[in-house]
Amino acid sequence: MSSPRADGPSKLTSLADACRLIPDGASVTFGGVLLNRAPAAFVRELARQRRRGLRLVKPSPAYDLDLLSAAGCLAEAAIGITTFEARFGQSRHFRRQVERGTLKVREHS
Amino acid sequence: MQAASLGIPFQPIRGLRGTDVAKAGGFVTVRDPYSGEEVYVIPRIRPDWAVLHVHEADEQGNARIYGSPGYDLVMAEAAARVILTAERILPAEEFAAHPELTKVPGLFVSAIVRVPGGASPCACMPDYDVDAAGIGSYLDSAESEAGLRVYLERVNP
Amino acid sequence: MVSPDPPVSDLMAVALARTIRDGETVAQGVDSLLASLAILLARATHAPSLTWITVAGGVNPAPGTLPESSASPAWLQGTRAILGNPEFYRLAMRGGMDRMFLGAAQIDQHLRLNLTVIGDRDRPRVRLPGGGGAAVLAQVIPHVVVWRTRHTPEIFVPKVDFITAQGNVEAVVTPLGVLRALDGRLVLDARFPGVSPEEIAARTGFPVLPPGPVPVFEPTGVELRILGDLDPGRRRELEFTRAPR
Repeated sequence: MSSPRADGPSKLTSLADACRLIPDGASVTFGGVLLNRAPAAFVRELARQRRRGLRLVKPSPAYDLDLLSAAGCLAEAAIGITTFEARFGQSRHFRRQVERGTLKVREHS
Repeated sequence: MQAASLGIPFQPIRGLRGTDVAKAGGFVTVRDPYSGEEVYVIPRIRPDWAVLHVHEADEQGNARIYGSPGYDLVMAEAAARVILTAERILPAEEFAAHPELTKVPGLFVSAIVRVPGGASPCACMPDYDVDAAGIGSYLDSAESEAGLRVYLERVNP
Repeated sequence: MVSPDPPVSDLMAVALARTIRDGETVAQGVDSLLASLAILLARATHAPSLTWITVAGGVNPAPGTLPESSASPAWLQGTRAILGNPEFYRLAMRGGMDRMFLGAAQIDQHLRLNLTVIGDRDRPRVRLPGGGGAAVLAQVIPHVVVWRTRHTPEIFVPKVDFITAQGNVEAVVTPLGVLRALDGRLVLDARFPGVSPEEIAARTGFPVLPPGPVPVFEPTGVELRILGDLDPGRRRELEFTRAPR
């Protein structure tokens, strides 16, 4: 069996370096749905790096939206629905920021 | 995001009639040139970045997702640039042997990071389920700015 | 033997199940333990050939007992296909879904639903979870059934603060009974045992009584027994005990 041709240089990088690719003010979407397969470690690193002014877009966020809201990283969020579901209830820190007026929300549905 | 994945400025959509979602979103209707019906159109959403946590990837960003991909595939096509975090990095041969299992082609991907447990405290089945204690711990810590900073130092990555 | 006082969660699960007609393609939203249980119950009783698309993407799964979260792998147990979120929306938009179960924070007399904000849209008094596609789904899915685990005038308002969704809402199930759409208005259709029409009227923020008598909704012993088998741990109570939004 012939070995496959490598398709160019490796794109492997560190978490910290990958996060640094995203500047303040960028619009970002995160994979996963609610408590399923969100890129939680990446989101924590964004918060650790104190990113600001991000515009989050995601149909069904939970941990990602809530943590970045709590960390003050977001300028706005465009969402469909957010909840931590039966056991934990609403995305409380996201909700608090919106009710205080520090986070603007755009409805998608 | 679907409109962005098609490279078009807006997309017709059914429903939305009489809702404040349409009003608040500033959505408008257009007249379907073929049927004459009024239909809502929503503007495209093209995020600068999509960040996806996947199960397996090679060093060029070809990635496999098990279970439901959710909206990940549309996101990978709608965003200008894509970053992946992956439970495991596998050799290219694995992906060459079954390219039909690749859900995100590496050609869409700008960077890839190996982060086992990278979705935790969220689930990444079949590898791990939701870590309820971890969710609770986050929710409690985030009650204060200081608590959140401690949480971020403790749960790293 | 039917207990004289079936718990309200049981009554609601049976009432929700009975809205389903055999052969329908049904789905539930997120945060939907009661609706999920109702679908399981309907499938085990009068609607064995329903098709169920779960919010996790499974088609006709066999989860065993009721899982707690929509992320639970149990929702994909036994499924032979995965219909992810975009696939589900496309199916609904082209008319492939018959019935959907939705929650709502406010419901008004014109069958409009609010899942978005209470108070001013830009600086709300209460930020709710959001519509999650309801604005589209309530118009492309022909049968929409809503439920709430409380029945108060703050929920059943004359006019919602924000119209998240409106269209094909046909029934609302609460701890007091079942309300139905009648000529574009929400009207009481059946009451649960031990509940008077006057009590329901007093807890609804708009006129809701029909002109004639309101029948009492009675579950059968078979329905209650199967319900017990499906959720022996009574996880359905979680919807009632958690702090309401």
